[in-house]
Amino acid sequence: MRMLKYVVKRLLMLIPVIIGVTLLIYVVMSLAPGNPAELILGSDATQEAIAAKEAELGLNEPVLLRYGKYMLNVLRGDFGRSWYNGYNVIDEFMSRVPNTIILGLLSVSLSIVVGIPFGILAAVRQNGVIDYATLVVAMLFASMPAFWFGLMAQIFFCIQLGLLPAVGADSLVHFIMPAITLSGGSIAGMVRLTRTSMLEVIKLDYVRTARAKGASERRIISRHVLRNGLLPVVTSVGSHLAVIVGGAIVTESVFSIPGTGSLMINAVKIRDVPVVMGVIIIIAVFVGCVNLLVDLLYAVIDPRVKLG
Amino acid sequence: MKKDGKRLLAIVAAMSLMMTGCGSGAGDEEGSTSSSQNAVQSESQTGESSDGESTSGKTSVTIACAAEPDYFYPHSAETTTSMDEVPILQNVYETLIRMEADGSYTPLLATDWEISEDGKVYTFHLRDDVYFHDGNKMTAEDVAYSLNIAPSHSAYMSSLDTCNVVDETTVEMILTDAYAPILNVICSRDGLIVEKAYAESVGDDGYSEAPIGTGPYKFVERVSGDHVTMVANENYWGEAPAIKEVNYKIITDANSQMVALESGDIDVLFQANISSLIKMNSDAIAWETCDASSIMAMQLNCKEGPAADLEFRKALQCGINKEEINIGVYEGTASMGDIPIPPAFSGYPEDGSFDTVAFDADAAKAHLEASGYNGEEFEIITVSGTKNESAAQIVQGQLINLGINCVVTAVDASSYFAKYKAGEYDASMRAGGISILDADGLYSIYNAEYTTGITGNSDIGIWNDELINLLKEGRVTVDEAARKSLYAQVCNIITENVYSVTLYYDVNAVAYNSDLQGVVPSQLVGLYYINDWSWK
Repeated sequence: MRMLKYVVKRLLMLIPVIIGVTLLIYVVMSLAPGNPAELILGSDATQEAIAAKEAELGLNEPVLLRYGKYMLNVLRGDFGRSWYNGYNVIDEFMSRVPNTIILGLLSVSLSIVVGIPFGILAAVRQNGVIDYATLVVAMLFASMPAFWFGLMAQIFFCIQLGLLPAVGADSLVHFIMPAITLSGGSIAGMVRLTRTSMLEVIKLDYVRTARAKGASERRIISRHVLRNGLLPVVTSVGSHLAVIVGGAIVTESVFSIPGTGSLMINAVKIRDVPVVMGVIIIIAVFVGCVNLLVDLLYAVIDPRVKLG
Repeated sequence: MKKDGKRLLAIVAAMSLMMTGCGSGAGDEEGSTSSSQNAVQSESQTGESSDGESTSGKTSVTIACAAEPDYFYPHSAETTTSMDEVPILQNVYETLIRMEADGSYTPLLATDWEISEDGKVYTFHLRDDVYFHDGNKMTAEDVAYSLNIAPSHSAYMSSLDTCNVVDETTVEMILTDAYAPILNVICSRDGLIVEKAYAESVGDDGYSEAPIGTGPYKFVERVSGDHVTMVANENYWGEAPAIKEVNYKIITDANSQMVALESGDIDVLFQANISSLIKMNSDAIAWETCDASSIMAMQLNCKEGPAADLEFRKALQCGINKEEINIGVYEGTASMGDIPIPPAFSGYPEDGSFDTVAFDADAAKAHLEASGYNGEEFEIITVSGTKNESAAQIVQGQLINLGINCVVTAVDASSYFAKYKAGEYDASMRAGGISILDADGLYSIYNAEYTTGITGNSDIGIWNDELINLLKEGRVTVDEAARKSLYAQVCNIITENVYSVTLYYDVNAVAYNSDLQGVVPSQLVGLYYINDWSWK
């Protein structure tokens, strides 16, 4: 019962968050220089066509009124159509979301599969060669910007070796390089986080007790340290998952993956308000829900955490 | 803007590392491995290019485009089609006549045409064997319908009074006044022929989602953010296209475009980056350039700010080293010019019939001293992340050397057009895209009444009665020689008053797999006839 109350409370808190985010973005996009009607119709348009377009888009009305009307439509489930090509915003988003999710899941999995074991290894062998080597490599990956790393990977794997396709999202093979590029930074973060939280736990009394009882090192690490040490990592994975749906703008652009990130960035460039707003609302709701799930999960795996 | 610069730097650094890196850093052993790898690679490259059989079976092409093509109905008053859609529009739909790379006109849907003495009536005789992709026959009704709706979205078609059906295979276009560039206009997307009954039943957006034309290619699908596919029209009235399938792939990142071209993921790249092409130096890739329809000019605000002073403008006119900009921006491949009409345009005045001002730094300093300039800021606005920005930065350096306190403000395109339209600048640098290959493009720049569209004019002190009268006369003059002399006078007025400084004519480059034949760079962005292409 208490849990249910907590969930409802958290969901209700999403409402002000979404209003805040959407209002801010709507106002900023409306106040930015440039008349959308002129931008849509281009340089050859006639004066009458522009005036008609302005009226159609409701540009003559106050910003807040337009925002209110838009949000009412959203509540009815109507996210509107793109100002530029008339496509339904939700259809466009849905057609791109699979690519974004594949890319996101692959990269999160990669950062878990690579990051956590190396983090544990670094913690267990603290101040040893493996520890330093892991940290240096992790820092190296974290410091390489995605556009550069992606381009180098393309030059090496596509042009030099001819092994992988350079662009597109036609098959899973197309996602290999983008997933590696995207996970580069988060692997590094995962390694460092795992290492730090493991080290904190290793120092605790109950680990010393376990050692004193004569438990094997392997058992101590896997049974006692790992369980507690990985708690912060779960939160971190959760927040990684939450941002997936927003897309990876740079990686999507370097590898020409039609995902939600590129949908939004293109819409921002041409001031396609319905598309930007629709994508933002979906992302905000998704992030809110995933964060809630992570918190709930946290309470399940760590009995010390009390919700409410 | 800033990020792009850094990206470029990083790439240059990385490329040079890749070329020299193995030898310098990694020791002998690795050095030898890398050279053997190079040997293998060059073998496979020559293998690819000489091995005719491996590619001869190919009947599809993949073309890269930088922005997403998403609207495919050319005559909507609601939505403009962008340049990225032109290659699709021009292959799915057709125009009455076709403009060749040299600017001449050849028959397409019309077998021949006549122009009345006064230049007001154009009569077109249509082919009788043309069918739309849905199997319906193209009629004179469809042609008249298409041309009659064009003025609702294009200011270039505003001189069209009406287009009448004369008989089943004849239409006549009646103009309110003679308008010399009209043939040029109807070769562009404004003159594409759509099916009347279909347009009336599905509406603009419906037509765009499932376009039907008479062209050599049929529209198959658009996958949002990814690609557009076309296949050859097996019932095409003309010669069957050798290329059976066209994939138009969206690759927004310029570096990724080059990688994809080099790795063979794409076959053709429009608007290729010339510096990258020169560095690429691969036998498997061919590339060509031609003058684009856009003119790179520095438009000056002659009403307010430092450039309100004619002497100051004259200092700019002779103080800018144009060749330096050409080398910096286009590796020297752009054609230089002093007047805002490129040589390939109709109406280009005879060489020698107009005045030019040569680069002369000393004269520029003298003009600057004679002016009332006392170090105030001279602001050039431009669109960030474009070649225009690179050009503006080179000009900035040159002007600072002359003693002008020049700043460059690079902003996104929408902000740029808002500033441009409001006249909030001292100078504006943009390769002004003109949709027609005709000197009449100037009319929209110097016309006080032209306030429409995103490039509409504000009063920046360049409205000149003599100039506008000459431009108006140029529009209605059909005789070619007379037009040329009118435009020579136009250019002289612009040069004398230094309303703008023409820097060079923009470049269109097309890069393609060298096994592909028939690819010709086009002056108008995207005007490519894919049915002319074939694989070796």
